[in-house]
This record gives sequence, structure tokens and C-alpha cells, in this order.
Amino acid sequence: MKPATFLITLINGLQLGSVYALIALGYTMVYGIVKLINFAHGDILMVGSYVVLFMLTTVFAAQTLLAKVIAVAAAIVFCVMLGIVIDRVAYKPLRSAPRISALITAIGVSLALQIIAQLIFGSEQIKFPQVILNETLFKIDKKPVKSLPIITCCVSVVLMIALNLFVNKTKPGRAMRAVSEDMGAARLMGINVNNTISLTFAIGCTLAAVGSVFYAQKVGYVKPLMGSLPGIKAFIAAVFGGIGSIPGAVLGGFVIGMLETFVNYFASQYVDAVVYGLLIVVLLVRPAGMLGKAVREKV
Amino acid sequence: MVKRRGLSSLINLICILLLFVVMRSAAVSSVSLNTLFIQIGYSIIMATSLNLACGYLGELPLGHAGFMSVGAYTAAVLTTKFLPQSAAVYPFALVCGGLMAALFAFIIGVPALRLKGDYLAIVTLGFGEIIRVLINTVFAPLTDGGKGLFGIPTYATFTDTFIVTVLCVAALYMIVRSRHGRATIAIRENDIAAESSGVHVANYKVKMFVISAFFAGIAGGIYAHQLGVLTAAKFDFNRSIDYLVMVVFGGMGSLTGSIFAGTALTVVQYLMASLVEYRQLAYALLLIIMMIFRPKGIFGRWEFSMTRLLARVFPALNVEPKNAEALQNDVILPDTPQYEVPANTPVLRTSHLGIRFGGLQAADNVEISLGAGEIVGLIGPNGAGKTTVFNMLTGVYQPTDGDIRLLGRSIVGMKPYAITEAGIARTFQNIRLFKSMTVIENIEVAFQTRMHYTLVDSLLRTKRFRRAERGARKRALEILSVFGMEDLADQSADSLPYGMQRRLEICRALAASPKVLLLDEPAAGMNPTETHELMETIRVIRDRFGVTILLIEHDMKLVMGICERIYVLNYGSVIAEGTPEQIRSNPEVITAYLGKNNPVNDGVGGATC
Repeated sequence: MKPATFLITLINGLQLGSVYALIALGYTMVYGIVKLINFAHGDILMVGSYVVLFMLTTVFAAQTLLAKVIAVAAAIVFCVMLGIVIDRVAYKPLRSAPRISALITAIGVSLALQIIAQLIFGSEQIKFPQVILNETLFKIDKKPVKSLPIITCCVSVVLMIALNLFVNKTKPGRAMRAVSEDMGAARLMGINVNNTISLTFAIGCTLAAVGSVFYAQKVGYVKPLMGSLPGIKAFIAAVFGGIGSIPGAVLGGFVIGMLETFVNYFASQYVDAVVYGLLIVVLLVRPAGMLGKAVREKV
Repeated sequence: MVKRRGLSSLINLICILLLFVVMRSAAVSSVSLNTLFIQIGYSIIMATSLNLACGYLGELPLGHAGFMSVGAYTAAVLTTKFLPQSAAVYPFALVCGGLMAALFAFIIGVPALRLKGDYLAIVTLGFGEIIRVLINTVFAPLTDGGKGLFGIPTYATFTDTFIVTVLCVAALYMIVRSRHGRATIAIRENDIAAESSGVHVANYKVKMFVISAFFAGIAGGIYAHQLGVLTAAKFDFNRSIDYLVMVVFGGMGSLTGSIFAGTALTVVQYLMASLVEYRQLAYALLLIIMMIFRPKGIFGRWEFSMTRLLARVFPALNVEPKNAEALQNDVILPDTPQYEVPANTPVLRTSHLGIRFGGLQAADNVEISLGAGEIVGLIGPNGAGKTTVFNMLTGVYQPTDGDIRLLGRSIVGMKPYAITEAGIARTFQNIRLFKSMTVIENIEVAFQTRMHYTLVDSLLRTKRFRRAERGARKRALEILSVFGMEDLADQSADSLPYGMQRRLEICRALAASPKVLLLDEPAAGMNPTETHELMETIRVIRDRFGVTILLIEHDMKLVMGICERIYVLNYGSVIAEGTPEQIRSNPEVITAYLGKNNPVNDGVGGATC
């Protein structure tokens, strides 16, 4: 591998990693607070990119900068509302039900989103318009370094720092941490648990909506099933970092993104198998994840 | 209820034959019905086998179609490329497909099922996605990759599909109705209690998951040999969901439900073949709505029984077997191990026992020694570490320091089920019964380490199986009679009043034939009369079962009334040890309970908190 190729691959890895990290954050935060694998989270990514597509092709005639900004904002608002509605309608009635019931519901929601998208937009993939500037910034050894990966990484890192500050330094952030630690005790301390959970879903969906723009732009198209594979990989990233841990999700996202990009360079057909193999290894060696801590069940 | 085994089997056989004759005549008359019946056959196998993992074990595999694809490809590659072109090799190919699926399930089940939580769901979800990629890439030389495997001989006929389906469902039924099935359901109900009752939880989870995948592999083989062509894309996530919907719709934990839903939804699928998307949307909404409004599905955990139905219609069938008395004595009782207590050695002894959770030393240098047949109390204020000591003794927590010796042998590092087998049984502070099981089944689960018939015995319903099951019931009733609870044997455990539930937990612990019995607050929530009865019962248990008893209790009347010796724990350390008299007047104990400078100095007799 030539140094230039290595550098380009590294940048691409960071780009994919930031997207995975953004999605993984949503998984890990929701898991941390309601102990549910929100299978529909990957599909929020899909919904976000369809909203952008819809806005830029059907609502606005010209793809001006203003139109693009509004499209992304619309995607964020729509995803946030969708996430909150899903929680209130499908998950909230099952908070005290056996975990398997909530999981099955989450699967149902994921499936419903995919099929509804399929019914509205058709199952074929549609070309995704250019939302973020993707010009060649400079060249290394005749290989172009584009602006999309760089913007993706920068925006993601800024969002992650903001999230970290929010969770650790603000009052709602403290409420979120309290609810994830002990829902009952948090309620007794006067925290509005349901609103806090909604907030968590909202943040997760915001990150997924932003991620959706980066992801759709990277792969170049949208289709109804586009969310499931990045969804699974982001979940693997969350498990790798330690499910429930915010820095863990970021770490996991970048590790999986890099791993995937480099494996892709050498043997593209093994990418999914390798990522999946990593999950198995993590579960065998360090089930609590890199930055997670093992929890003990009270007997 | 019809008690005659032979009669019951005969009725079932006749019904299955009748069904076969009717369906076959329909299948012969119409090609499309023939196709539909075969589809129903493998759908039923898929749904019932998924139910084993989902409804009985309580896990959520999301890649059942993945195992189906492994079985389909294995069987199809064998019959198409390697085996002679003859329908005679078909059963062999089906079994190979099942075994290959089982192998894959083993590989992914071992890491995922070792852990608590929902890891199996995500691992199987990933597996279902990735196996398709593997089939098209890595295994392409065998599977012909993305272009699909063509020219598979279409061996699947109505007759053999019917037979295989009946065999698979019967096998699953036999497994579920055996000690193995009981252990599996116990894991679903309460894994910690199951482990403490001697069930090797991790092992059973993997075993049941592998069995479930085996049958999915068989179903895959049928699928391949009906269609004659295979493409990996057919085994996508939606197919896994189709089967999950059958299980959820029919009822998680009801094979009848899976058979019904497997049949009904396959027919729906057949009729709605052109409306795939709407069907999938309906399925998705069905999953959500079922979980919110009727999580137990149509049938819940109810099973259909032809014999029971007939017995209701024709009461004449209700006959006791002639040799009922003889059968009562023709039993294999669960083992009662002969524990050898080495001379001059306590039955149970801990030395320097300690455990640290991060920065918290929850127990430190705990030295407890129990002699044969003693009743010993372990008391202390809330948070003193009493239950932590129990958890270390039973292997739920691994101590960070010190040693525990049971009958002279160290048990540190052993898993809870192994410690139960070695001779320590316990009850729990917050009751942990297998709630949806009956009272007697709760006890029978704890015979797990004391019964030895194998999975094959339960599949074939061998004499050994029947004698052992009769023995288990007989012994379980004996144990229940200690508390006068025989009449409640067939009630569901969670319908019992609180005090009875506590007693049932003690019965369950006794069923494991322990040498040492640990009781964690046995009198909690009991009224004074009940507590008084309990005191008597504890003595009776000691004498009748020859156990040594260590009990945690806050009710000082009980502790002072029956304990021969008492250990007092405070902040994780033993602060006093002695007879009730000595403890009552020990100043350090009084300080621990009531604080310093307390004018009350009449002993701890009044402290009940």
C-alpha cells in the first residue's frame, strides 16, 4: 500500500467511521436509557435521506444552498418527530413488559418503516442529489482528497463534542444520566422520565438524520433497505465500544469504519464477514465492550 | 383425563393417519394444493423450531431463515453434485442439512448465549445478512454463487414432507415435555433461579438454539427439493420475520399455535402472492399490535390434545390404567447423593472469604463454619453483606479472596449449577420462582442434576424416561407434603399466596438434595403464626433431610428460637459468633444494630428491621 493510498483510505475510513459513530450514538443512548435495542434506528437513517431527497427533488425546483439547508433541517425535524412518536406509540406501552416483547416490537417498527418507504418511493434505488460540497481540495501523489470526507469528519466531531458537553454539563443531560442509571429513583427525584426518554430519542434521531445525509451522499443513492446494514454495523460499533457508553460508541464507530475501509481495500467481499467476526470476538473476549463496564445483576 | 398411554398414542396415530389420507387425496387432485401443502409443511417446521428458541427459551433469534439457507444449500449441493441421483439419498441429505445448520448455530450461539441480554438477536440478525454474502462469495464454488444453484432434483413430495413434518413436530413436543424442556422453560422464567436449581444455563441455551437451527436446516432441505433452484436472496431478513410472525401470532410457547399460524399464514401468503409488500406491512403492524395488546398470541401457552378433546366428548374414555398401583412403584427416583463428611471437618467452611466490588469491600475475612446437622443464623443490619455471602457460597458471585470448602473440597470458581450439584441449595430474598410453571414443575426442575435420562430417552419416550418422570413426580409430591402442599401441585406457581411461594422455594431447594441449605429471609412477609409454623418446619427439614441449615433472617424470634449458633455480620465482617444467649448480650452486636450511646440495653430482641 503506497503512502498516498494509505492516507486516502485513512480519510475514507474516518469518513465512514464518523457516520457509524453518529448512528451508534443513537443506539447506545437509547439502549442506555430504556435497555432496548432500537432496531428501527438504522431505518431512521433511511427516512432522513428520503426526506432530503423528497425536499430537493419534489418540493424545491432548484437545488440552491438555501434549499439544501432547509432540506437537511426538514430531515432532522421529521426524524426527531418520528423517533418520538415511535417511542410513545410502540415502545412506551411495553416498558415493563418482558424484553423480548419490546424487541419484537422494535423489529416490527423497523420493518414497517422499510415497507412504507417501499410503498411510497418504490423498492429501486434512486440517485441522491449532491447536498454537501464535494470538490477536490488538493492532490497527494495525483490522488484527489475530496471535501466530503473532511466535512463529514469535522461536522461529526463537532456534534460529538457538543453531545458530550450536553450530557455531562447541562441539567437535561444530568437527567438523562440519572434515568439511565435508575429510572425509578430518577422519577422519585422529580425528573420527568418520559420527557427525558423522548429527549434521548430526539437526540439519537438528530444524529441519525445528519448521518443520513453524509451516508447517502457517500454511497450516492437511497433505497428502502439502505438503513439496515449500516444500522447493524453501527450497533456492532456500539457493542464494541461498550453498549450504553457514549465515548464507546464514538470509538466503536471509528474502529468499525476504519476496519471496513481497509478490509475493503484488500478484499472487498469479506468486509461484512470481518466486521461481523469482530462482533463475535468482542463478545467472546470483552462482552462489556472496550469502554463499557460490566453490570452485576442484583440477586 | 385419559391416563392410558397406549390408548392416547393410538388416538393420535389414527388422527394423523386420517389427516394424511384427506390431505393426500386433495394433493393428488391438484398440483397447486400439493405445492401449498409442502410449503405448509416446512413453514410449520420453521415456526415450531423457532418457537423452541423464542417461546420456550426466551431468546430472540432473527436469522432463522439463515439456518434454513444453510440446510437448503447443504442438502441441495449434496443431492445435485455429490450423491447418486436417487430419491433414496433425500433423507440423508435432509439430515446433513440439519446438522450443518446446527453447526453454524453452535459457532454463533456459544459466544452470544454466554452473555445476558439481547446479544443473540443482533448476532443472528447479522448472521442472516452475512450468510447470504458468504453463500455468494466464499462458498460460491459449491453453491454456484449469485447466479443460483439450478437443477436440484425435486425429491420433495407431499408424502415425505408430511412424514418429516410430523416427525419434527413430534420431536419438538417430546423435547419440550421432558426434563430438558422444563430446564429450558425455567431459564426463560428466571435464569438465576434455574442456575441455582442445577440447570447449566449456558449449556442449555446453546443446546436448544442448536436444536432449533437443526430443524430449520431440515425445513431448508425440503424447500430446496421442492423448488429445484436456490438463490441466496430468497433467505432474506423478511423470511426470518415471516416465521417470527407465525410464532408470535400463534403464541410464544405453544407448538399448537405455531402449527396453526404456520398453516394459516402460509395459506394467506399463497393467496396474497402478488401483494408481497402489503402482506409484509400487515406483518410488521401485526408484530407491534400483538406485542402491545395481546403479547401471548392466539393460543398463549395452551396445547391442543386430541385425547383430552375426545375424553371430554366421550367420558367413557376416562379410565384409570389397570396397573396404576404397580406403575406407582415402578419408578426411578431422583438420586439422593450420599455425602461423606470427613472426620473432624465442618460440612461447610469459609476462610478469609472476601469480595470487592470496585472500591467497595462488600465482605472481608468472613470465617464461617457449619457442622453437620446444625441450624445456624446469619444476621446483621441491612447492607451488612449477608446476601453477598450467600451469593459467594452459591457461586453467583466469585469471591476475590479466600476459600470455601464444602465437605473438605474447595468450591471456589465453580458455577452455581455445579455447586448445587455438589450439595449447596438456596432460596432467594426476593422470591424467584418459575412463575408460569406449576408448583410441581418448579420442584421437578430442581431434580435436574439428580436425573439422568438423555435427550434421546425423551425423544423416544423410553421406559427409562417414563419411570424417571414418574419418580420425579412421586418425590416432588413427597417434598410438597412436608409443607402440606400436595393439593396445590398442579396450580400455577404465581397463583400461590406469598407465604406459600416462600415455602415452595424451600421445597425447590430441597429437591436438589443438598447437604447444606441456605435460606435467605425465609420468614419475610409472614405473619407471626406462619413464622411459628415455619420454625417447626425448619427443624423437621433438618431432621428429615439431614441437611445443615444456614439462614439469614431479620425476625429475631425465629433466629433466637431455632438457631443453635449465630454469626453477626456488619460492614462485611463477622463481628460476633456464638449461641443466641451470647449474641443477645454482646455489646458490639447491640452497637451494630442500635448505634452507640443508645440507652436501650435490653438486647437485640426487639430489633426486627
